[in-house]
Amino acid sequence: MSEESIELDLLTSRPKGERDAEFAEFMAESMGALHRTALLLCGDVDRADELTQHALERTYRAWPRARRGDPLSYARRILVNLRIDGWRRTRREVLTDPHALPEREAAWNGPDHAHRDEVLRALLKLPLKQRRVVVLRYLLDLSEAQVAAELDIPLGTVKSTASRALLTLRSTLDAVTSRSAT
Amino acid sequence: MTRTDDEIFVSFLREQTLSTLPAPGLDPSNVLAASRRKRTVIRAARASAALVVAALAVVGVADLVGPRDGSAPPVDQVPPPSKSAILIGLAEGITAVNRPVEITLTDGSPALDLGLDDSWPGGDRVVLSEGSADGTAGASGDAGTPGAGVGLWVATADELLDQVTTLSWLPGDSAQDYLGGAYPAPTKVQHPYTGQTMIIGAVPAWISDATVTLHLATEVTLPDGTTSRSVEVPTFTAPTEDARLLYLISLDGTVGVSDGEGFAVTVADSEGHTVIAGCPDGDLQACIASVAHPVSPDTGPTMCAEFPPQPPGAGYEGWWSSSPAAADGSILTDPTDWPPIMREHPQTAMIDTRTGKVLVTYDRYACGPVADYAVPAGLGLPPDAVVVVDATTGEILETMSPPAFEPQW
Repeated sequence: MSEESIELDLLTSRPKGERDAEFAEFMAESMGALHRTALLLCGDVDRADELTQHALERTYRAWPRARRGDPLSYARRILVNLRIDGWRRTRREVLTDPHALPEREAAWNGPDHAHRDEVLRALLKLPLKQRRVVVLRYLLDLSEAQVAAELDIPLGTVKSTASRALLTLRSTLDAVTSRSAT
Repeated sequence: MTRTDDEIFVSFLREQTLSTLPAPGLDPSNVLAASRRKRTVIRAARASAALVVAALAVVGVADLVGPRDGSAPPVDQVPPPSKSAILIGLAEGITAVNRPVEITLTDGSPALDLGLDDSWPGGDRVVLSEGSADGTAGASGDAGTPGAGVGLWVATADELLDQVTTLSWLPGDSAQDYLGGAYPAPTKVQHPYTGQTMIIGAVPAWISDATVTLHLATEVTLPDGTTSRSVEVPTFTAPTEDARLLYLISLDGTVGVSDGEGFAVTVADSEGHTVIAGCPDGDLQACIASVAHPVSPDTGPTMCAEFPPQPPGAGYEGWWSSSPAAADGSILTDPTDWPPIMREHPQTAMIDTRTGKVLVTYDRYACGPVADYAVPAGLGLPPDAVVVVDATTGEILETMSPPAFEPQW
């Protein structure tokens, strides 16, 4: 083995089994949260799967760095910066057949989710940056400082964007909230 | 304590969404396998170029560092540099591109991966792509001669995302092309929040066997522990028809250059003839001082941190329009605490280059728009983009090119 290879292993590698075990544990804890984030951002379950997988793959590649801090925050940062609204450029590779998941189908397509769908549609009408702020700040309950850090924007921008977005959402959803109240 | 309307509304949003979202349709073991497979492919590609960024940042610089103040370490203590490392560490906080890797992005674009990974926020790699965004002539300004150039981009494996800057030059230039003027200075770009700085420049075409050296205002620590104010910089070939030699230096936010200290780049031929990029009179120290942006809080007009509400800048906001804030959310009113780019460019204008229309201007001295701003005649602007320029110097500070930028927010 060359000197370079040895140094590479020393500097960047952990035992493969240990890395994979750590990452598998991280996935078990975080995949659901990441998927929820993705779904709230894009409004499409399959696209959310794809975004979640991309984020996880890239987190795995950077695992030594990601694990040094908060891996979920690291993965979420990757996820929210993906091209949420972009056209799908590559076919996803390893998804489970959605039809093999009847509970998931039921959860998504059930008849009792009219309000949820209206809220998601209202979210999708927001410009992407407003949507990112709303999802992170209000739906995932991150602090304004965390949102600023994860989106790499100034704190003042988080505040003003969140305020504008909430106003727009409230206006769009006025009818829904009235129905809910009654 | 009663809940505000906003709290009630947010609670409604959460109730309607979070409780009814379906589980992911991903199989964790398949995701792990795919992650491992892609990592292996990427590592193999990089290993084929023998790139060991971190390791070689430590071991690969010894005999690439040129004449300097400190003494050279014993040869037997420092492994020889790898000629094929993508990145080389020049000094603490300073790396330079050595042997970038040709890649093809998923969208089919060819690019040079500079090995900077995700050190520049917004993507997971930094690449060079052929083609000057401004499409103008070379640095001499000879409008009759076609120029060559590259764009520096933040990208993912799939596509180019945001253009960081461009570099153009005059192919096949000679010293006579710059009589009465200096050979163009390298382009310096700085991330507004991280302070990360990149310096990119082209080696004069008439200098063969060039030695490029970065000169700094203060000492930096070299990999062998000694200190120096100058480091030799590797060059690489541009992905252009004329195969121009380029250099790209990346400096952490902790390095003095990132905080406004001066620097200079010299290019010397094998006989010792030296060109100081950007400085015609040959005075190195004066050249270093001339590009410094010292922060002098006690002099000059006051700059405002927070603009009053203005018409939205066609949906684009950034450091030019934002209020610098501390981690606790308080506004930073002292310019010395601001990201350097904010205080270096207090007057900016946003221009839609498709129409030539000035969308909005910001003047931190006036705490409002720039009075009577008009796009200067002859200002070279990239096509099909929205740019932020320094309203005083005309320097292009940000380029937002479709389809990378978002429509509005």
